[in-house]
Amino acid sequence: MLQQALVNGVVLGALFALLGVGLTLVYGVMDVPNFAQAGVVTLGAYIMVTLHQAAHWPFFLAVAGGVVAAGLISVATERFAYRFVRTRPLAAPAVALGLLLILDNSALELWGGDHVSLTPPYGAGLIQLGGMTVPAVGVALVLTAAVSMLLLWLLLTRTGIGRAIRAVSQNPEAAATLGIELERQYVTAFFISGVLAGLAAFAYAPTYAVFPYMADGVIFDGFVVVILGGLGNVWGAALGGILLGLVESLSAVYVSAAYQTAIGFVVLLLVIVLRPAGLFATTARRVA
Amino acid sequence: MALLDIAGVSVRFGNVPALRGVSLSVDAGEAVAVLGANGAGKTTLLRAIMGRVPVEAGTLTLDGEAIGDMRTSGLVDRGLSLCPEGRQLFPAMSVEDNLLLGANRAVIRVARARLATIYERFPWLRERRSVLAGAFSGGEQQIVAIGRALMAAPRLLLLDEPSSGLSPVAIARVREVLGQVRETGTAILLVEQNVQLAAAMTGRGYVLNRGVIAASGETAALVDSEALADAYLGGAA
Repeated sequence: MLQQALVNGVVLGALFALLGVGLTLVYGVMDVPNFAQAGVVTLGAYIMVTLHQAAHWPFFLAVAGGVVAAGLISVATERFAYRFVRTRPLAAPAVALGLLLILDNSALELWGGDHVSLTPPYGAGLIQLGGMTVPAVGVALVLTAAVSMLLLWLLLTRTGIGRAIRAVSQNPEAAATLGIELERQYVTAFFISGVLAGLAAFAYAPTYAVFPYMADGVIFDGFVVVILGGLGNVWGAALGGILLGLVESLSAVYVSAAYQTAIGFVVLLLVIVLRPAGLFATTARRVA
Repeated sequence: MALLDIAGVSVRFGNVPALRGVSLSVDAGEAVAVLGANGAGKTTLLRAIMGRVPVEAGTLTLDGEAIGDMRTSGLVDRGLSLCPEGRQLFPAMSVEDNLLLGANRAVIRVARARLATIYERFPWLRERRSVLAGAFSGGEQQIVAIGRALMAAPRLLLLDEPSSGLSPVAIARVREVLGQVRETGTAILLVEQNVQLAAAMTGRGYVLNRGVIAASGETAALVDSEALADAYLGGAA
């Protein structure tokens, strides 16, 4: 039972990490608590379902379409909303929550409130791992999260785009003085965050139903992950995600499934009290 | 024709005038100083040249081209580069990443070639290229910051108080590095409170006092001038 709980925890943690990494990227660059990312996940999932089931696109092409669309929706939230509160940080959380409502209700208006499913070709598959049974969708989720984070890390640390994003996260005015276009970095960060939300939709939707408020609960776990890992710390968010997933999964087995999420928040409170900068934070402001 | 020509430039922050009708010029390959006390408007002048604060009145031209309304990225493309006050490095990034950011406007092949040149000129940077910039002393950070500014391959390097907060030993090292920069023929506009450093590095200069050019001439002569004494000791502008 312990082994199965650990496996479930890693799968759940991979989802949290995928969400948390996108949140921490945007927070690192723009100081915005991007609650609207849950709405981006939802719209991304609906677009995948529509492209696959209504437009009859092949499954992975539909997923790619949904991921790109999620990236563009995320950019739209920056262009049409967040950019206007960049110098007013106190307004950003309210704008973020408002955007989440707009995106969720857009999904409700466009697709209705019924639960639908996104079923991948491997949807019913089960994989045996040393006596444990792991659904293929869970394996796909973990692989998606791992590959996404590796690619994001390579992008941030090995490319000019990544260097510019990291520079803006640490000192935007100094970056601008070097000729780095801040607006371009904000748009890029939101696009990447949206793509990660789209990938989270791909990873999340086959296990859970697609409905207008599908990611509103799990986005709070994403924020717990961000705080656990240290704001702006991509690897911290990844490790924080796995940690939270394991805590919640083990809590469900050994305490009660009813307290699973609550225990995650207890861990958050402990981290805030004992290590306010996060478990994996450095002293300098960073993204990577 | 001067490389940089500034005529009657005024900058205002709200109701507070920061620069009033400032005029100065820098020729290609020349080193020029702007001397003045804290609050004289020296940093504002450099920020106005780099397009970081709006210019209320006056004209700025680079090689005859008007640059007053240009974005910072365009100014960097045209050969201006600022080494800001307080270094403003990215502390959680390596020396090499900091240097490459200085060439962010160039394609990677060109940036790598410039990096090789910088490493050749300053081997100390190559030896520490993987170290986080935040781990260095102020003097070492200043050399990284100068290297980063040079990565833009500037025709005119703007230096804002490179000796600020440094020990005499570190200042001597910065002076040595700036001497190497001078040998490359890069023009320099040096804003400094340290008049000895300015006199050693530049041939000509201006005294800026409360946002107004109070005097100009050979830097060595300005060092002993009444205008500079007024600027530092609070005489009338």
